[in-house]
Amino acid sequence: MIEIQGLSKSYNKGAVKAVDDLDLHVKGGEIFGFLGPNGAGKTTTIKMMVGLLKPDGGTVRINGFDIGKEPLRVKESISFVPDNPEVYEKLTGIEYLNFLGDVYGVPGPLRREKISYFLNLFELTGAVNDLVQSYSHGMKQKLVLIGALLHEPQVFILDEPMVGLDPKSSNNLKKYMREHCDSGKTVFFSTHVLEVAERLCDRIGIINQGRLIACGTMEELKTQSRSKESLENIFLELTE
Amino acid sequence: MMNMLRLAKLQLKVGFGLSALKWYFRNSPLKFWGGVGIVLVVILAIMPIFILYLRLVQGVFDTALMLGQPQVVLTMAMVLSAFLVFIFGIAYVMSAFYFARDLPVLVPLPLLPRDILGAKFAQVLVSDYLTIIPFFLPALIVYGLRSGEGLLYWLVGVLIFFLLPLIPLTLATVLILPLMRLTNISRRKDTVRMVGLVGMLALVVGLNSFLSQVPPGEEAEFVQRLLADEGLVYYMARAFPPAAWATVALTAGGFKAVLNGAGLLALSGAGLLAMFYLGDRLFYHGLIGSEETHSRKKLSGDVLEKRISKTSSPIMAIASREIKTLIRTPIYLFNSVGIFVLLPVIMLIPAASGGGLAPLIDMVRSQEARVMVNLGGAAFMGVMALFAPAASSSFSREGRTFWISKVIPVPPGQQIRGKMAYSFLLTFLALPLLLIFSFLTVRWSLGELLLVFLLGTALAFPAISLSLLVDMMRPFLDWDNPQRAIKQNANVLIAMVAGGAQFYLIYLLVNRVLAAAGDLWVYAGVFLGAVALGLISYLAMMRLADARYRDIQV
Repeated sequence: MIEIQGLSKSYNKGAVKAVDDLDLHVKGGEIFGFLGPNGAGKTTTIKMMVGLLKPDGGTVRINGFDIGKEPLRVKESISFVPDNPEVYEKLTGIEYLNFLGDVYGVPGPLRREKISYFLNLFELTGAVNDLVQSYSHGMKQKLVLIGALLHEPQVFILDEPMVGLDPKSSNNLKKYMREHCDSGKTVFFSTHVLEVAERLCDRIGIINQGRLIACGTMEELKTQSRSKESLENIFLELTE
Repeated sequence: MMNMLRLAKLQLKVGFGLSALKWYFRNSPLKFWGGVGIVLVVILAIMPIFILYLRLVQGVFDTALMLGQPQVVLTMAMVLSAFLVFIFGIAYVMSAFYFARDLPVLVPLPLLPRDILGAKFAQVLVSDYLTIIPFFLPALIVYGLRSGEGLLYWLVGVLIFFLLPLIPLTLATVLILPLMRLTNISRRKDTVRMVGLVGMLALVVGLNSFLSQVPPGEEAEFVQRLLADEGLVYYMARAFPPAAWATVALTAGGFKAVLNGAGLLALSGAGLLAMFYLGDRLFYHGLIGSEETHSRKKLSGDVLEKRISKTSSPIMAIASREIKTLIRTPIYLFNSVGIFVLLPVIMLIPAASGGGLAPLIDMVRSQEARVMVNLGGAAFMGVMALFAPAASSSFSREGRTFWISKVIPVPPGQQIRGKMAYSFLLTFLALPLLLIFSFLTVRWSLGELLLVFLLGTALAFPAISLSLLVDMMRPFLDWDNPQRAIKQNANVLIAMVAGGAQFYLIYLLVNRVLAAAGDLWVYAGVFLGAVALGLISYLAMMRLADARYRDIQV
């Protein structure tokens, strides 16, 4: 589903290597957690995966398509939720969702079903006729999530999706991510909440200073480190 | 006071990107010098217009010299500068004071309302100095050099330059503060504010034109008064009386100059005091809660389902998104639509009130001038498409939400066609104005109206596609207040100048080559010339779109 090879990105004319020769493979039906300290290169990697940033080198292939060569084929099959939900403030929630339905070509009946379902799931039905500018951070996050799920993406990519969500919505999102992967699709998300990663992810990758320093299932990570206990201890040991 | 100064320094650093420039100078010289290059290109691009203005200033000086009142050239430049500061100041003040994104950070700080107000005012004031430089300095220099003025003239000139925008800008602020306070209680704030803004401007312009009328039957006395000592100066300064005081302060010398200079200084000071007085009482009341929007009526299940089921093409979805955003953002609406409703009013009221329209109407109704009138109507549509920053700030206005345009599976070419559709729709707002104009003056037949519409749409094509191309090549996405997406966006100016050059090419083609061949050739020349120029920008945009959408970083 996701194949990343030799991905690199630097800033300040190469002075700061944000992502350094990254190789990563994520299979279909897998929830992959992407961890790392602040400034490790998580968001830069994700932005290159979805076409928001141009890599200096390397390739990203999603569903067999190269984001650099066939960006539209990749974008049709993925969805992206950024860490900061900047959305059109002067549209109402329903107008934003309809806009995404139109640009992803979601037919009317399916759109009706999906929007109603997700609005109920994330308890946003009452606010959907209000302008986005009146939404709280969490409400905007929910709106972006719903918009991202309308077209049933094959690969769901999220950057810090739990930030700002209330516990119930966060729990609903985790359940949905599991269901999504159980049907053979893929979820790739970054997070700082290690407990969530430990409990939810099939595999975990840890990035530090732009390089992937560990990758595997929880069991595999435990074998790679001296501390065999929690993900937190493993993370602290590896990123020190 | 210290807090206000500290905050003003910060606002200037952020507002004019000084810190960013410093950073680029050290870390990314290419970007820094690229930016400097663009500024130079913009200056070079507006140079022909500036030279025309300089000639006008010299012409006015020569004519006024013959009447023995050359100082009127200063009054003219000051009135023009003050008018620009006031008209644009209203939108800028509203934007900087009430819609800036840093306000939620500033308001909870232990600062007085006047500190924030003063700092924001300083930011607007500095940009106004930059705005009036090309209008005021030529007059100051032409008069000073041609009249052989001494050192004192230049020193007073510098002082007056710094005082000049204060009065119109404090006036704009003093009008905006109560307007925002009163409209903050409304449920539909943005709409009420927009209506209030346009109404207020119309009132100011209407009142001004009423005051400028020559009393019927007193024309001879009026001309006599004009030719009397300083008469022209006072006539010119009726729109902005402090311009007359400033002119006298600059040119009269002696006690008279000191008195007038003191008057100007006192009024500027009074304006600032009034602004701070009102600011302390009204600013926070208008500001706090300005981000609140009323909760709309909850949708019933049926209505919600109906709304969800409505589908449209990606192009129309993008056009609709742009229109909704524009209509619901007062600053965009004012800049892109409101000003074009006001401009004809501003131009027509003085002509109508002075009885100057009758001969004009007779002329345009005569058959000989018909081609010119029809082309004039079409040109109005073209100019509206060019001057409305709707297209030339289309990418920039997306700001930080541009990530959505980058990740959606809609080819950049299609997204651009959506932006074009929206820009054309906006241009068609010229139609009601043309119909009113037709009814009042030219009385176009249906055939002529269709011709005007067709040619106007053709002329809008190069204006829109070139404006979009300019903004796509260098979008300004990192803004903290929507006004900056337009005002501090050089693309708007570049597109206007480059678009103006396109229109000039069409004019040359028609005037030099086709005029003698007959009306039909003229119309065909305008249509085909406009479409050809439009296609050049359009095809260039389509060719570059994929790469630009990939490379633009959010």
